[in-house]
Amino acid sequence: MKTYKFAINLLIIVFGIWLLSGCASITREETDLFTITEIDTTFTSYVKNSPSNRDNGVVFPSSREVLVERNLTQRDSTITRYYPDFIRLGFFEAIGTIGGNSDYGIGTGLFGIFPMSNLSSSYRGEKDKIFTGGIYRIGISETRLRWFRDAPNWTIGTNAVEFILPDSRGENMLIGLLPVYVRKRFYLREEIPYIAITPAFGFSIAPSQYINMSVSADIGSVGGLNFRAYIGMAAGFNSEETPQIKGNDYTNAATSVIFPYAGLGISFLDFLNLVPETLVEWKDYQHSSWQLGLFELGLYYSNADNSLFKDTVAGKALKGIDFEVAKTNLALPFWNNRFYVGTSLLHFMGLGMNSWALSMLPIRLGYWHTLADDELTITPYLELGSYPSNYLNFAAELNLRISEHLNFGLKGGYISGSSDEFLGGELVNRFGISSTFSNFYFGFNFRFVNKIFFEPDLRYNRKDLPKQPKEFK
Amino acid sequence: MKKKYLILFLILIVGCAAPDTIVLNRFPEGKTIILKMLNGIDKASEINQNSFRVFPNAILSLKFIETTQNSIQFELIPETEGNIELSLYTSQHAFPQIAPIKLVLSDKGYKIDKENKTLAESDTVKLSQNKKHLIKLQKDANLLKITIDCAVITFSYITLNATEYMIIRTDDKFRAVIQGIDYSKNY
Repeated sequence: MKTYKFAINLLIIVFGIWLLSGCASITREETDLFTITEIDTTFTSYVKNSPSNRDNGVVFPSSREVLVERNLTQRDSTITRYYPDFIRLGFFEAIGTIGGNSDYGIGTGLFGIFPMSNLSSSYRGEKDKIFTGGIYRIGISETRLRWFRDAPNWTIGTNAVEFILPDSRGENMLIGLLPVYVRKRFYLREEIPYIAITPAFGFSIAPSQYINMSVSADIGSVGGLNFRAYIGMAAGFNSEETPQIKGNDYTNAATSVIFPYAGLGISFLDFLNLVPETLVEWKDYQHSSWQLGLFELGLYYSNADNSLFKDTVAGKALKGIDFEVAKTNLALPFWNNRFYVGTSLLHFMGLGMNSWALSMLPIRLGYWHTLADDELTITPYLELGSYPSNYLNFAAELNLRISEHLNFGLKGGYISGSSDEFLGGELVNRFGISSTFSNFYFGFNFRFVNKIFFEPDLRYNRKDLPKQPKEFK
Repeated sequence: MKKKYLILFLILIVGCAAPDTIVLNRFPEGKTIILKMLNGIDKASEINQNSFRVFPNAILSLKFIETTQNSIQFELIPETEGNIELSLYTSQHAFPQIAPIKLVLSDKGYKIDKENKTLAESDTVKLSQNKKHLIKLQKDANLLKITIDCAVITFSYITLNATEYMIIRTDDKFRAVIQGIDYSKNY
């Protein structure tokens, strides 16, 4: 118990100091001083003619006077430049794995984000699931590791938290707070989107003690999206003091876990830089998206029969909500780059009782138009959600950029869809059965940590930027 | 317990140190030089507080903090043959896109280029292996005075923005000790 508490305290202290010491900064500043010297010579001529004729003879002095002034002006100026200071910075990564006990398969689905069952804390899995487990990482960061005489593409990093689930049995779940990972990337393609083979080694001290070794084939990032295929092995130990054992209904004993796995993964808002990209200023950073967002929440009026809220005046005016997590709208590099394809980790649209849909990884196709530079944009789009609900959503959004990372929008559209039975549980209890529904809706939403890009930001419009950034050679 | 936190803190500070940077002339204050290895952490090594060794194929930037009008002085002791380039009026950010003043020293002579045009060259003033050479660079407004041992070469009307930086670049053979590096402000 003492060791466990000490480990937790240790991690908190290390993480706190790490944050305070500036290692966690994602921006590096460079300030230079320079001096401009200007030399200027002024010639001033005076001619003072006498009021009357003068008998000057053949050789006479001129009344012209020339004053020569030399001025030296020096101006000191400073310039501050801002550079990205990370190799990888990510919000969320999910991997659907095979390799766990097939009798207790969770059924995490492709990429580990399409749950095949109605999950609950008492769920002990089922047979015949392809993806029996999953690996989930939240808050990913990697910085350059300069060892082996500056061997290229080594990184050291961590995740805020990592969950490794071989199968549905909670006692076998390995949880790592700030696990340390060392990775080496072998790049097969050094242009966006990058393709790399990445061996990795990681370990965690608490709450579970484990090591995790893997090799992955990575594609990305483009607009923060990455796809990865993994093979690897995790081996670890859960003591009686870990939350997985403490809160477990099936065992109180410590467990050892050996988990060889293969899996397919996806990550959202997960940005990868080559080392030379960290030498390119933020203003010249290569952006591939029209929009990136962490979270957005909207309130809507719809023609659903019953509101999701209480049946008050406000409840009748605002009948539904939607929220979307980890959104990306990737510009397509043709026809003025204004068409885009997008997706999100999760999109829930509840427009009224019995009129709701939820989709993981919906596909969006739209057109982006700027109405006012740096401020106002409009985008009509078509969104297709396929799992767990099916829906088709025609919508248009008017986006107002309030600040760098906060946007306000008006949104309206028409959605038609249905939800699978198995979702049941909490959603059905709260919002009613949503077998099939079609609704018009209109409302407003706020988007938090949401970045809208404009024409000059897109890399497709920046012909001045090299495909491969500068290196000192 | 407090000791443990202190050790942790120190480990962290060490962990955060940039391995591509050497701070020269920490004392006296106001004469500090930041040496940064731009193309690999094994391109220079510190000898003492005002001396370092530069290795082949190196690109180093020396930042003379907040002085653009200065006299830089050091002794160069080549350990091999080859050439070394000293670039002024540039910064690591703009190097090498902006062609600045470039002094090329080698065992065959010296050459001074400005924006890729040669201003001066000679084959009589040259570097000798394992011998001490005094190099002095004086930037004063539009005047630049370069001293190589006893030879003094003066240029007026430089018309370039003076910066805090000197970039050192060596070829694939050149290795040398740069010692006694010092600088002073011109005003």
